[in-house]
Amino acid sequence: MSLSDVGNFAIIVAFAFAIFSVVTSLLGVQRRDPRMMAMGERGTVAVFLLVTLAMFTLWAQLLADNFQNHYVAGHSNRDLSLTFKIGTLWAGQEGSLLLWTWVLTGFSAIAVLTHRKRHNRLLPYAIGVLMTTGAFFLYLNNFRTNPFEGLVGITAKGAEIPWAPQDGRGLNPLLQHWAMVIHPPILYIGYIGFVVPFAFCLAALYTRQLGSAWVQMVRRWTLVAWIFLSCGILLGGKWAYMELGWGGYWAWDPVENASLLPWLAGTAFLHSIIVQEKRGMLKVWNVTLICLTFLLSIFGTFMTRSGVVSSVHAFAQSNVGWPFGIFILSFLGISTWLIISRLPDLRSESRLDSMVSRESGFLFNNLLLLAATMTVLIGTVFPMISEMVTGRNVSVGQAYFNKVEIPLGLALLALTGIGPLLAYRKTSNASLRRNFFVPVTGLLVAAPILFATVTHEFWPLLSLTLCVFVTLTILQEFHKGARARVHRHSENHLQAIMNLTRRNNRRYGGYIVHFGIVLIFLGATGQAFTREVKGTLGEGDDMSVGPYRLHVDSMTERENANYWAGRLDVTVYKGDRVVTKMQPEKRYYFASEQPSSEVSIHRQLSEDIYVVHAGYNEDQTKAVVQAYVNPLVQWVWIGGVVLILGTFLCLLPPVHRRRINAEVGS
Amino acid sequence: MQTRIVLGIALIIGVAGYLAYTGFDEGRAYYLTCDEVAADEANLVGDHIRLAGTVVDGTIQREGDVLLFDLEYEGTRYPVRYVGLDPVPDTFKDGVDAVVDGFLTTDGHFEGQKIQAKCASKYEADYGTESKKPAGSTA
Repeated sequence: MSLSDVGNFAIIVAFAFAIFSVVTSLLGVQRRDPRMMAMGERGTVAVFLLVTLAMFTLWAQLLADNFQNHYVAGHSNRDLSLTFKIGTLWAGQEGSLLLWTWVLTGFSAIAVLTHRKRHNRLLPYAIGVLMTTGAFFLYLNNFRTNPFEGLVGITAKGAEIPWAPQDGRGLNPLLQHWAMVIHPPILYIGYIGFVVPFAFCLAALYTRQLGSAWVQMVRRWTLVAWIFLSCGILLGGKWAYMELGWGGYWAWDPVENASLLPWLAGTAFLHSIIVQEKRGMLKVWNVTLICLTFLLSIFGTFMTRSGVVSSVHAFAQSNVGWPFGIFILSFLGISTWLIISRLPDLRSESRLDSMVSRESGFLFNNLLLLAATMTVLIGTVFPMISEMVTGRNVSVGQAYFNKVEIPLGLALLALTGIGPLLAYRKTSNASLRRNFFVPVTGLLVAAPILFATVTHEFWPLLSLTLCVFVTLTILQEFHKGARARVHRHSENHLQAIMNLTRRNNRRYGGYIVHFGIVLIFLGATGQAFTREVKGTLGEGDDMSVGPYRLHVDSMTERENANYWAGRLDVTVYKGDRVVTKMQPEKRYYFASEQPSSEVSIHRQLSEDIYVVHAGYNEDQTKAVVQAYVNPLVQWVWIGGVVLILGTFLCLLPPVHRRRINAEVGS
Repeated sequence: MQTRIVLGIALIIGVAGYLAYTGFDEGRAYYLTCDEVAADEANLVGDHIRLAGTVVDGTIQREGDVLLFDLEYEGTRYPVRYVGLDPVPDTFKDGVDAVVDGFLTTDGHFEGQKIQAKCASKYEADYGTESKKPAGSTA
């Protein structure tokens, strides 16, 4: 038995077990038969173990250079380093979808193991949803995009025999980068993490248990998914910035939008469930938002995997297009039907008292995020829709996205500052004055200063001003809370801030996430001031970009088993001072016959210097050099790290419960 | 109270709709293959077009900062002048499928400002089944 046989065996049995779990779980709960329900739970864990076996089988084949497997032959080669061989598992369609299934079934197994005792009544239905999704992806793994297919050769007599090429085709050089090794799994964990909240939401809808219980149990799951999705999007941007060599990190590409869509909807959900927990309101929003988030996650996978992005014709040719379409429409139908039929159970427990209240802040936050989701979605699918309707593919381009999403994004940024300062129910005029005095004063002082010193352009100016405003609101919140503790507990200010944050981790963790968002906006605003120069340079030539002068010291070559590289040694001057030395490269990878540019980036908090070796002139004596000065870019990544740390803080268990337990124990 | 909320909601939807509408007008681009452009040249001058085709072997030339090449689709060739600032993607070479963003000029060539060649996440070195057709082909 070959390794491919082991892999095929694992995924076909997993497929059977997934269906078995759906059936036993749902039948078991109908008949109130605990033994059947337990079978469903065990089946779910078994599916995960089998898919794990399939994953390790494929890894074994990749590491052993088993080129009889067409996936290994198509995506790997002998000289590829160990890290990249491991990452090759998700470099192509078949492997990516197997990874999808692995993460999905892993989450399902964890959900079963953690919720088996509590929340018993929702679990069997949730297993039904989880394993239906699992069965769908296993169907694709088995019958549509099987990663264990073997290559065959035909003998002189016409018989088919297993055949393996001498070497594989190699990994796309663009993917030979650390960020691309970890980006897909992280992004997938983000996408797929939303399946658990979705499954419990459908279970709650079906059983009409729509209080705050399901919301409390899915909050953590959603936060985990959200961290990974945020991280995945940022890594994707980081990779594009370091590897693609066009100087930016975000281009409203359909593949990028596909990851942003569930992030926007998921962010709305995370905010809106707070209102359900505190006030029993916005219930319809919550069920709708989580269904939307999950469906957009699947839709994102569908868009990137079916080829529909470039054209509807590619969709028709793709072997996963139709199954995905049917899957999404079925779940869309089921969710819509469940929400509509449960509307009476989703009535608000209290009503909105005032326009100037925390609740309405959350409501408008929901609306803005949803408006952003919908406009990005429309822009992304417009080419497909226009092609289907009129036969002509019309795309909307970056101009559309910038025009729509910049104002919406800035409105959201403003709300990030305003919302937390409002009180629940109704905000009194006195508290409005008290809370807004410092931030608004700061805003009024910052705006003219920024206008005079930084920029006259409207949107960048507004963005920077709002960054100041929101930062002040956050600082003020920390200061206010800390001051109270300093008085009550006689702590010093720093201690007070630490304890405050730990004891109210959800609230202050949220503020830290907001600060991360401010930093990301700051970094993104820098893009408005990017400078770009192109030139053809030989040894000893100079070129200026912004305040810098680039001088080419030498042009050299080097070669290893994987690629040939032409390299420039560039010294960067500012006036007479040497800022840095940079070495952009143009590489040519042998196995895949692909050229690739290794960008050289000098990182500074104020601005990056970004130099690309874009190729050679006609007689190969000079290099085409592209240079960019990108202000503030580093703040995007720093903001990302702050955002992730803040979210971790939100995930910590509440502190007071533990302390009470300890006191009871003593 | 309720009316103010409804007004607020209507305002957000209205503004988002307006922005989308005007943004659409500014960003609209037609995705067309070489033969489609050739068939309707007169009407397309000045429109933002995304021209799709295959780079004809041996036609890539550099003239200073400008890159010249021919795109071809189903027998129709189109000369392209790439004047954009962004570096040409690494995947761009003879025989690849490319999409060039730009405008048709009155003297019958296509002025490109941005080039996309077969993108990374769709890179599939499928053994022996590599297709040379551009995305959007009706096979």
